[in-house]
Amino acid sequence: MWAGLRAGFPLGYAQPAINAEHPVPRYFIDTDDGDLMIVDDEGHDLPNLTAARRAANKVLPEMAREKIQDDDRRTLYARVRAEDGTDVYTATLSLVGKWNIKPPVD
Amino acid sequence: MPGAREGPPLPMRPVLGEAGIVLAAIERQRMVPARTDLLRQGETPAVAHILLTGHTCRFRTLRDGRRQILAILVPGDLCDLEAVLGARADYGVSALTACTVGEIPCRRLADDTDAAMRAALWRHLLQDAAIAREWLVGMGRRNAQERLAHLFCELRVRLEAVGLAGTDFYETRITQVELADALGLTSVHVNRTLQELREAGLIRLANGRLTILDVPALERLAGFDPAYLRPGRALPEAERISLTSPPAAWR
Repeated sequence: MWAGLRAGFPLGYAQPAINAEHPVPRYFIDTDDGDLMIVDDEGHDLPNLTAARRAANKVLPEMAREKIQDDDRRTLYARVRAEDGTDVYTATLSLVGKWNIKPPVD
Repeated sequence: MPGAREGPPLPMRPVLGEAGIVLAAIERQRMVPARTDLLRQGETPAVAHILLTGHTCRFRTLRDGRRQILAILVPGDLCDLEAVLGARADYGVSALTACTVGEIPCRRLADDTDAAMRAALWRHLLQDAAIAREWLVGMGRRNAQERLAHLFCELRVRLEAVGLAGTDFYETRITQVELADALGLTSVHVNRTLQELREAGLIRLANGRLTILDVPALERLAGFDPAYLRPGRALPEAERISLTSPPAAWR
């Protein structure tokens, strides 16, 4: 469905030759901001598991920047799936806010 | 796969009405494969490149490899005008897709006696600066949905101006990683945001074609006002600053 907009290789670098024995692994990163869960049907070419974890961790503060505003409770999730469907990593980022006075009514 | 695409066919060659004067100065055309550098950061350009087909970008790379795409260029755009005028590139230019570029010798751009050429270069510079301001606003203040929606709206108007977009669709082979580098987001966030726009019924993306399903709604979401894409047009002729007198530093 997303052909033509696949996660590609960085600009300015030659695209690596396809190596059938050691292809670049593809990881799928699902995200949930509490309002909308997005299942990644496109995937990302990432060199290894460490890079996949970094990608999942890094998206959370970006989502937080947009989503955390008027709540005092919100949890954001990111999950990494390997190409064979194995669930390999989950990260959560939570906001816990607390009024120290009687909460305003608005 | 032309058969699989929707909508009327697009012209094979862009309509480059406004760029006519610059096009006439092309001395050589060449094909550039995707992901090839046209100009390296720090280099002194030998010729200027005008894009004829495909997409290129201007970019800066940080020491550790992080990249910021500074501009996405469409046919009719001059890829490296500031670098040519400044005699040094503080950015690189790379082909995002397979491209055709026209090479224009620096001496043609510096020709003092050619008022029409100077006016055309001014228009290019003003438009580049206007787009860069819009990108800066986006990077500083717009959220991911607004940034992506704004870029899609902008590209539609810019491509339509050269006959390469219909009223609600255009071809794009820009990748998620490239969008991420242009919008200052991670590619995971771009992927998420694309799917949000899709789920909201605003866009469809298939076979390298972006279809905007509801143009007014996408423009509203983006806060998109196309006025910045026509710098110098808003004022009546008499009230405009003359575009034919560039600063002395250019000569």
